[in-house]
Amino acid sequence: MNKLTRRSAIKMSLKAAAAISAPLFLPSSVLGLRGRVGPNSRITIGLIGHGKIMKGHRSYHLGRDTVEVVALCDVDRRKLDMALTEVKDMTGKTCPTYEYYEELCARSDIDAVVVGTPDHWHAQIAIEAMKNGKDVYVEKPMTLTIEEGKVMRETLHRYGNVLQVGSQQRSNRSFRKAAELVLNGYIGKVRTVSARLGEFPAPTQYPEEPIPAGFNYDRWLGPAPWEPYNLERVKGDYGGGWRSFWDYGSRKNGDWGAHHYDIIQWALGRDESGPVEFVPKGYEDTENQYFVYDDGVKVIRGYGREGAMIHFVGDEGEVMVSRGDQFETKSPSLKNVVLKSSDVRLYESSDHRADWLNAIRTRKQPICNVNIGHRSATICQLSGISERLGRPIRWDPVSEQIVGDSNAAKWMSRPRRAPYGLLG
Amino acid sequence: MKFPLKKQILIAAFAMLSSATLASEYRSELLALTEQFESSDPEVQYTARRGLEVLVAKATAPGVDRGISKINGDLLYCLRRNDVSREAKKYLLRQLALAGTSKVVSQLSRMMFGDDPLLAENARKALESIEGSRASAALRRAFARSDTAARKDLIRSLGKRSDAASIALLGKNLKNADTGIAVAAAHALGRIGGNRAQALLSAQYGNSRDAAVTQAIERTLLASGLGDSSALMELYENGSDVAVRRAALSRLLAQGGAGVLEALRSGLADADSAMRTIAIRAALSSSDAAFRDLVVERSTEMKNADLAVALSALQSIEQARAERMAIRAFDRGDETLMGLALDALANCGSSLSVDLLVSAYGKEHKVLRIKAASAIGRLKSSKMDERLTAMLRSDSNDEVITALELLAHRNIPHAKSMLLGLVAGEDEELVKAALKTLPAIASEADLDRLLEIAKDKQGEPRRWIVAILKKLAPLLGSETLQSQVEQL
Repeated sequence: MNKLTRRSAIKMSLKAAAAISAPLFLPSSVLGLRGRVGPNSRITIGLIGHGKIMKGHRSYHLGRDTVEVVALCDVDRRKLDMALTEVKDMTGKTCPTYEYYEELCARSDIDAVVVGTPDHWHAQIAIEAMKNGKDVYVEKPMTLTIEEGKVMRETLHRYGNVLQVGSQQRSNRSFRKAAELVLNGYIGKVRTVSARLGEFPAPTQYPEEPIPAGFNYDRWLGPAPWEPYNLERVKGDYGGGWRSFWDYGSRKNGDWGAHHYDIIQWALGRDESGPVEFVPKGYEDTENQYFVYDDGVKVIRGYGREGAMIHFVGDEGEVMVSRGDQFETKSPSLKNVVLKSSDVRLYESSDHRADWLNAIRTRKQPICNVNIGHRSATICQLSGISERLGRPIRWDPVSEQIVGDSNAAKWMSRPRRAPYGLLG
Repeated sequence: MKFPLKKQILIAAFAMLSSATLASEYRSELLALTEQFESSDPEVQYTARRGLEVLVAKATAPGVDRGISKINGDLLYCLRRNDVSREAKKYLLRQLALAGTSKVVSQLSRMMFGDDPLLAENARKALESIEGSRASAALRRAFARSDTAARKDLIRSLGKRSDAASIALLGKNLKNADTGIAVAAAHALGRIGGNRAQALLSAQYGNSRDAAVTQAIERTLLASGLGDSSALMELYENGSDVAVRRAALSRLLAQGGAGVLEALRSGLADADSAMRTIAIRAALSSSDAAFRDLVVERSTEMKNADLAVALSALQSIEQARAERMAIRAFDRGDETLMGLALDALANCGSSLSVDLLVSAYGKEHKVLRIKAASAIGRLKSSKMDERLTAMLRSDSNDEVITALELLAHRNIPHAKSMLLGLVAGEDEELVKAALKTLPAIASEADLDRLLEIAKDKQGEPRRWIVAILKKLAPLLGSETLQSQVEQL
């Protein structure tokens, strides 16, 4: 059998093996752009994980002429049906639905996927999508463990995908301006930064309840340890639910830390690096959890509801920034600084999802790419590890290793429940 | 030197006693926690889990004298007890995944074949994480005794451990009749990496008739750092799916060497736009000038889609050439390309681009205006400052107003004094335009000047100035200024 015949045979075999439904649209392949999208073609998208956060993605993509939502995936039949109803209402069309993301990712007519599952599934689904040649938008934090982040980074570099992490504050003008002022030294040497994350209720165990019909709970758990089903464990709730459990996320360090630590990294020019020490609350009377960079900049986690979401304090000024374009400075004039052409300008994006779609077309990495997402998520995870162990963690951001604590180093990955191994 | 029997017995007894003492430090606390797992109160159960986690963390902290050894011994003790519940044992095993040493390998090996599948899996996961050859050997030994499903899990565990001693076992299972096992073996070999693993994968790649296994081998060859150019070329030309082909081409171009230029030419001409994308980006970021030149030469004939890719990857090519490419792209008139060209010119533009950028700002298209404004702000050329200064002095109000708008994007020397000069002037259209820009760039000193101007003004212009002062003074002004403004 010559090579060409073997390749064709393998291709046909793979197509037969994958569960592909007939699409009801023109895939980019028909437009002569097999496997990649030209500047003016529609991007075909699959949406995976239809909890609270996916609602915004669905509305956005369903409302765009340049995008076609062609597949939905969730392990909860009820959520899938609700999502499909929305697709039909907004577009007048239907599309295939899947319980297994592998089937969706195997479709050759899908250009990209959005991953909106709980954190513990982010990495594996994103990796599977990338290995199948898809571009990815994955919600923050990018990963649950540091090992996952490294594997995602390697996978992307190997397959050349475009990946955006959903840290959308980078696409907000106020956060960008705050970061540019700090980065360009307009507040002098930065001394401290405080980040307001809020708090979740403490995780606890709940009594077992019957698993609702149509909900594949085993699949929902995936690589996380088996625990008896209870609605409180799985529900999407910005005040708790799965977000409050260590098994599925890094609690507030992941939920809001992924946003604010990311901006802090950006403002301090640390996107290729990170802090060197993490100290948990309560350790030797430490009042608030904090981490420190090698130049002494201290980032303190605030708990209260008062004050700015992020507050940079420097020798020559302060910058306070929150969502809703709340942006203040000390002195007030700093707010109106127009950057000089010699100043460092940060990546400009005014729409996080549009930035991703543009990156798909141009193949340039978007504003919150895999390297940045991994570094920011690493801070979330190391903060969580130090909290769980109740002791400081020292970190080498160059080698990306925990220093001097071999048992803490084991927390860089987690045992994964069979058969949900991490495949890079 | 051989000791008398009595002395040997004494030494052995002392060792056992030491071991028992060594191992008993955490025992009572562990047992107390395990009892709490039997509570029907879920909060008590959770407290027990967290207590277990904290205790093990304490024992394994750096500097704790033989803490790891002690906690291993005590965890093992609790696991062996029949009066410790299944639920508690599950959590003890989870802690051994974090704290376990080779001391516990034998017990965990036995538990892998126990009657309880939940504890068996947790024992395997603990072994997966324990360092040292004993744990690897235990997993390998378990393979022969296991069924198909368990074999896949064991293979994953061996792969995760990057256990080089397992390569032979994994290589053999690449040919397993069960596709799942063969695929798992391929992935595990990929994780282990190295020449031996690659050789086994490459050998089987030519022989496998199972499409899923072939695809797994292709991907793991790439994952294992395959560097052989001819093997990569084979994957690029004949890989089973576009993702593999793309990855192979990307690797080939990145590592250079024999066959790269041929691969580059092939990639640039590929019918698949993804391949052309990889080739374009790889060439433009290459240290080899010939590769960069190849793409720049071809850019004049490129399709818009390919040119869009090129525009996003100009950072590595010589600035003047990048600028010319961006200007030519802009002139094609495609809105997407124009936007990308403006983005590129923000970084690579020179005095050559000044007119284009100012003209682009004047377009009706909102996105292009925004991009042009940003590029104008970033352009590293003093010609832009001269241009905008000239526009501020122009006889054409339209030009002046455009320049005023752009002051919010570009920091020009003396611009604010010119702006305030316009506020002080007689042309009401320009007074209004200048006041529109001022809030975005005003400082406290500017408000002092504005206050002076207001005192000399009458009618509508005075009213406008006062409104701006009343808005800005509380935000930017001193207390003195604020009280003066209140009196206006």
